[in-house]
Amino acid sequence: MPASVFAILSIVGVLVAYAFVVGWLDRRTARLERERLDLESKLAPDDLPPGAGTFLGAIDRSLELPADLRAEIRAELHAHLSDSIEALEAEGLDGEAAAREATARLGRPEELARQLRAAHQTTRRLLAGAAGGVFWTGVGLFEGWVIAIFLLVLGLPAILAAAWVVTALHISPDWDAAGANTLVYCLLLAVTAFIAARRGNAAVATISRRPARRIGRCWGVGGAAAVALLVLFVVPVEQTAFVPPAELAIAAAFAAGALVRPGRALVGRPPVRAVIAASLIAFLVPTLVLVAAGTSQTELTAIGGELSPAALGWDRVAREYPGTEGALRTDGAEMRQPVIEFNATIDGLSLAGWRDVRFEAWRSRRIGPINHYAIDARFATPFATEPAVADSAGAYRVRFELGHVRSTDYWTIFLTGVGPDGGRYRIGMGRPAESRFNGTIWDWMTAAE
Amino acid sequence: MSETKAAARTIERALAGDATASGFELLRRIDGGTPEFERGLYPTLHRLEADGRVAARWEATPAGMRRRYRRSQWAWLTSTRH
Repeated sequence: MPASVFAILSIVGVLVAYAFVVGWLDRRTARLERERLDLESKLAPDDLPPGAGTFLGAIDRSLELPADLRAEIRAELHAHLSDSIEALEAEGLDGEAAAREATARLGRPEELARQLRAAHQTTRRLLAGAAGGVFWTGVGLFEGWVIAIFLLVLGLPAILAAAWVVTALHISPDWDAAGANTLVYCLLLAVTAFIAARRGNAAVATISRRPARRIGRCWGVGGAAAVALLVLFVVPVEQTAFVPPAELAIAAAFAAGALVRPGRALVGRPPVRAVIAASLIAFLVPTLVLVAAGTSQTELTAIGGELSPAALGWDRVAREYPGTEGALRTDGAEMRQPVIEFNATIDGLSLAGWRDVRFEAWRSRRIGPINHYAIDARFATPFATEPAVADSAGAYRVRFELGHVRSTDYWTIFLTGVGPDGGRYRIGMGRPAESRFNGTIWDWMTAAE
Repeated sequence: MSETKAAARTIERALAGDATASGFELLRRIDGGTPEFERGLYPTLHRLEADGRVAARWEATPAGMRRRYRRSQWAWLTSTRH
C-alpha cells in the first residue's frame, strides 16, 4: 500500500474513532450530570413545602453554572423562600398557598435561572477565563510533561520488550531508533496535551463561571484544531508512514482532555498499595521477559558470508566494470537532513572514452544492526541522478535534495557510466547511510514517492 | 433609564451607608417594590456583586439556615465591623 494512502486512511481512521469516542463520552457525561442533578433535587431540604422544593429543583437544573455557585444560589433562594413563606403564613395563608405565592413572586424558575446565569456569565469573565485558560494550559504542559516522563520510565521495560518482540518477529524490517523515538515523543506529547487541556479547561470554566462541560466543547475543539494545524503545517518531524496518525493523536488527546469528565477528577484516588503493586508488575514483568530473552539477539543470515553484490542488490544498479574494484574513493559524505552532499575521487581508472557518467542515488534498506545495507527491492530505478563532472583537481561533488522524497530513509550512492563497449557499468559506490524525511505531515502527504 | 438600571439604583440606595441586608430584608426595606422588581431582585443583586459594587457574605442563623447578606462595596471596605 502506498505510504500516502496508508497515511490518509490512518488519519481518517483516527478522526472517525475520535468522533465516536468524544460523542460517546459527551453523551455519557451529560447523562451522569442529569442523574446527579436529579439526585440533588431529591435530596433537597425538606423543610420547605413541596412546591418550593420543586421550584428550587427547576432552577438548579436550568442554571448551568459551576456546582459551587449553584449550591450558593440554591441556599440563598432557599432562605428567601423560607422567609417569604413564613411572612405570608403570618398574613393568614396556609402553607401550600404561601409556597405558591412566594414562588410566583420570583417568577418562572427557568426565567429566573436564565437571568441569574446572565448575571454571572459576562463577556468580561469569558475573556478573563480565556486568558487564564491559556496560562493554566502552559502550567499543565509542564505538569503533563513531568507526568509523561514518569509514566515512560515506568513503562520503559514494556516498550523495550515490545521492541524486542517486533525485531525478533521481523514485523518491521525497517525498524529503527529514529522512527521509534518520534513515536515515543508523540506518545509523551499526547499525555502532556491531555493533562494541559484539562488544566486549561478547568481554569476557563472556573473563571468564566461557565459549566466545564460546555467550555470543554469549545476548548477541546479549538485547542485540538490549533494543535492539529501546528503538527500538520508547522512543526517538522521525522516522518514515516506511522507518524502522521501518531502526531494527530496529540490533537485528539488534547480534545479528549477537555471533554472527558471535565471539571472533575478523572479517576478516584486508588489505594496506595494497589498503585505500588501495579507499578511493580508493569516494571517487573517486561523486565523478566527481557532477561529471559537474554542475549539471543536475532542474527540476520545475510551477515556473515552472503554480502555479495548480487545478495545486496548492487548488480541491479549495473554490472561492475572489470578492474574497477575500489575505483571510487569517498573523500567525504555529509548528510544534512534533507540533503546529501557527496565528495569523491576516482583512483586507477581513466574515464576517457566513457560517457554519461553519473551518480545514482538508490533507496536502500538496512539489513543489520550497524551499517549493513542492501538495495531496496521495491524500487527498480534510482530516486535521483546527478551528472558526474570533475573539477580542476579531479574531484567530484554531488548534492541530492531529499526534502520532498519519501522512502529515502536509507540510501546508497553509486557512480555509473557507459563504458567503451557501450554497456553501463557500476564504477563504484559511496558509503551507504541514512537520512530521515524531516518535514510536516503535509510535506509527507504531498511528497513524491 | 432601563428597568434593570433603575432596580440597581434602588438597591444601591437601600444599601447606602453601613446598611446590610439579605434579599428578603431588602424587599421589606423597599416597601412597595413592584412585582417586576421582586422577580429581578436576585439577578440584579448578583450582577451588582459581579461588577464589584456590592459585597456579600454568608451568615448562619440560629435555626441552622444560611443567609447571604449584602452591603455596599465601599461601606464593606471602610467598615470596622466584619
